[in-house]
Amino acid sequence: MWWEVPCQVPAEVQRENTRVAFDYVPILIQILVAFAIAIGVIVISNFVGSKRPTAAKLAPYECGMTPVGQAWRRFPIKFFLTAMLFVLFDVEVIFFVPWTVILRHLRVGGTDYVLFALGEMAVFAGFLLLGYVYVWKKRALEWEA
Amino acid sequence: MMFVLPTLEWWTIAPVVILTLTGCLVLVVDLFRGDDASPEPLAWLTTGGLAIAIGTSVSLWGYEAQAAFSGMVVADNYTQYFTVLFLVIVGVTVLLSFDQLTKEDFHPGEFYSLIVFSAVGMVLMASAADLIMVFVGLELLSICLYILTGFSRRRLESEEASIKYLLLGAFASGFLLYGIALVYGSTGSTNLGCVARAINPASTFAMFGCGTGSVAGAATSGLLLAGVAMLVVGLGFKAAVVPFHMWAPDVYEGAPTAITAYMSVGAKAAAFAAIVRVFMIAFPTLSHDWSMILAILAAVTMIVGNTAAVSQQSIKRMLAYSSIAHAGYILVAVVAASQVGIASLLFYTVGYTVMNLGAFMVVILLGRRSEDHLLISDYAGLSRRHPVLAGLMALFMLSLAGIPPTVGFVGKFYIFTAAVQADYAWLAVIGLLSSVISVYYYLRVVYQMYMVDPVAGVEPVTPLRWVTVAAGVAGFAVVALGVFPHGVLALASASSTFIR
Amino acid sequence: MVPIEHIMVFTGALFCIGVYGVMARRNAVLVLMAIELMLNAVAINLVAFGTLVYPGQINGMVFAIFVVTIAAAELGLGLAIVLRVYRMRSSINVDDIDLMRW
Repeated sequence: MWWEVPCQVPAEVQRENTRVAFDYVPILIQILVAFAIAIGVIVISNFVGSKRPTAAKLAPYECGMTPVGQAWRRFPIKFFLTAMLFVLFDVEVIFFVPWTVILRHLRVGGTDYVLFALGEMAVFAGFLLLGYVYVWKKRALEWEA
Repeated sequence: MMFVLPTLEWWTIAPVVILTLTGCLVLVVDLFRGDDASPEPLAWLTTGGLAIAIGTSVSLWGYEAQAAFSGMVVADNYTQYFTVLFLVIVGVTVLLSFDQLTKEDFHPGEFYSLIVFSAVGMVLMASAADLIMVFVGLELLSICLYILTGFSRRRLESEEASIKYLLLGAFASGFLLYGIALVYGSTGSTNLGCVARAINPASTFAMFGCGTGSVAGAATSGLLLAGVAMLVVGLGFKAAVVPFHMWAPDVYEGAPTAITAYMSVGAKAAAFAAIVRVFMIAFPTLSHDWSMILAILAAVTMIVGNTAAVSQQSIKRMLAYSSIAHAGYILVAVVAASQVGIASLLFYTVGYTVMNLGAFMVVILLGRRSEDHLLISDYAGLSRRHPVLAGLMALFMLSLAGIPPTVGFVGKFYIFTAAVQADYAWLAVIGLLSSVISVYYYLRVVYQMYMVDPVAGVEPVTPLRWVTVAAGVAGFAVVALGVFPHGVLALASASSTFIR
Repeated sequence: MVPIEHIMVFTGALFCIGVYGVMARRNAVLVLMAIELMLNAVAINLVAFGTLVYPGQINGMVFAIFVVTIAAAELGLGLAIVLRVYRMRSSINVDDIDLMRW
């Protein structure tokens, strides 16, 4: 039975464990000091500083632009959909490039692996094709839907 | 350029291949059906694919561990143990989601194929022998879950849960990846066995596909330790370990209930499957450095999960915090870092799956009209309306609280025993104390069901037949595994032999 | 040749800028861009390790390819969800997405 497996932690490992626990004490102290300073600064500035908040001051800095929303114009949703589909299929090309680079080296060594590599790529392209068929049948490519 | 053809041992990933084909088939079949065709054929197709994959995985049990695809995956008992567990979870989720699928008109094709693809991700995580595979499996699982979380298009909460999960999940993936990059930079390999040999040349994990040639031994360095720390962050996020748990309650509450059940057991088990592989295979010699960190995380997770669950009003949110606490218990087993610890982790994962899925089954049976009836106060007087369901819910709550003779008790017992053996008695004590807190909120549900008078005007629902049967089976399993744990323990023990 | 330390400092800085962006930005699209920054830092790091520290190995390059494609899938999905949030709530300020709390 499994609980009869002798499981004794060697003495040096035990010592090691306790030693490591002490090793982390400086880090603990540093964390405490960091927290103390951070909280202290906030508390002090809360009491000492003057506060004249405006809406613009409270908003996070976004390169001088108004943060959200207003800069957005209404786009036809089709642009986003097409762009997203383009990106997804476009990125897959990254797998084709190393494959084409390595393809001509596959003849080296007496055996011909080109057919094997073609088969592998056919599997990969098959899955991509499946995605394409899916998109097509879902009419995501039709502009006038 | 010298080119070595990688040997392709297809049988090692046979379940993955079958699942992938099933997912594609479901998608294609759905395309050529009408828009309002019944989801039932697709559900059967999915279940059939899952059954074949489970059968394949079972037939692979007991073979000697073998790495395949140039050391990318490894097929051993551990892989098969988790594969079967994951696929059973997915099968149960297909059953649980069926009612909501028809009522809220989810697209069945996408739903079933996504859930199958997420299962592929989980299986890859459990069989990963390389950090690349850990990452790919994790992302496959996560991306499918982001979509599944937002599947209830009518509810704003679902969509909110989806975007929160995605933003935080992608953030955590960034940390995981940076950790992997640093580990690669300091050891010169992403294969788990090779990383182990680079850190300690004496370690032999030949079965993980690392050749016997020399490795770029860089030994321990700050770079490596920073990488390990970031791996803890990235994987801890997926397992919802405090302090990386902030997403969990919102996502669990907002997701469709069947998906919540799926995430709380499936994704968590997958995350721990990967955590065990990465930390036990790649970094065993660094255990002084990570075991204390993980021990503290486990303690904090148990305490925070259990105390935060106390004040919850929604049953889904309560179960979310409870699942965070259970991640803490499971992490204790990782900290123990012994074969006994991992065997108890494997056992507890099964036990937790059974009891948590059971609890969610009752929640789904009662909250049928699209996500209502989800407050704990809605369970008032349930024993009068549905005595059987109330009895089952009480059983699952007692098991989650760890009260004998249920599987929850046995599982916790083994985990804490392993922790004490590994000289982490303080962690076991914290675990025990925090599970005392958990008794309070689990029993609150039982109290509501049996002691509080029902609210007037609440009609009993007609329970779905198959989900009720499944809940009954889960209730039986909770007791059976609690009284006779030895069968599953023997399997768990045989699955953890890769740890020495 | 550029020493590896320079690249590590560069990618570390890039990663930290990404982390800062995720924490400080309120616009969900900008958060996604910040995440992309983090992932790109990792990809550069992997390629740098693969070419400078371990020449002749392809692990780093292969991993970088996976990072790029998976990041594209993740962010494509992210944009789709953000778009849906915008259509339902006419806002993509992450502070406005607050139906559920504690």
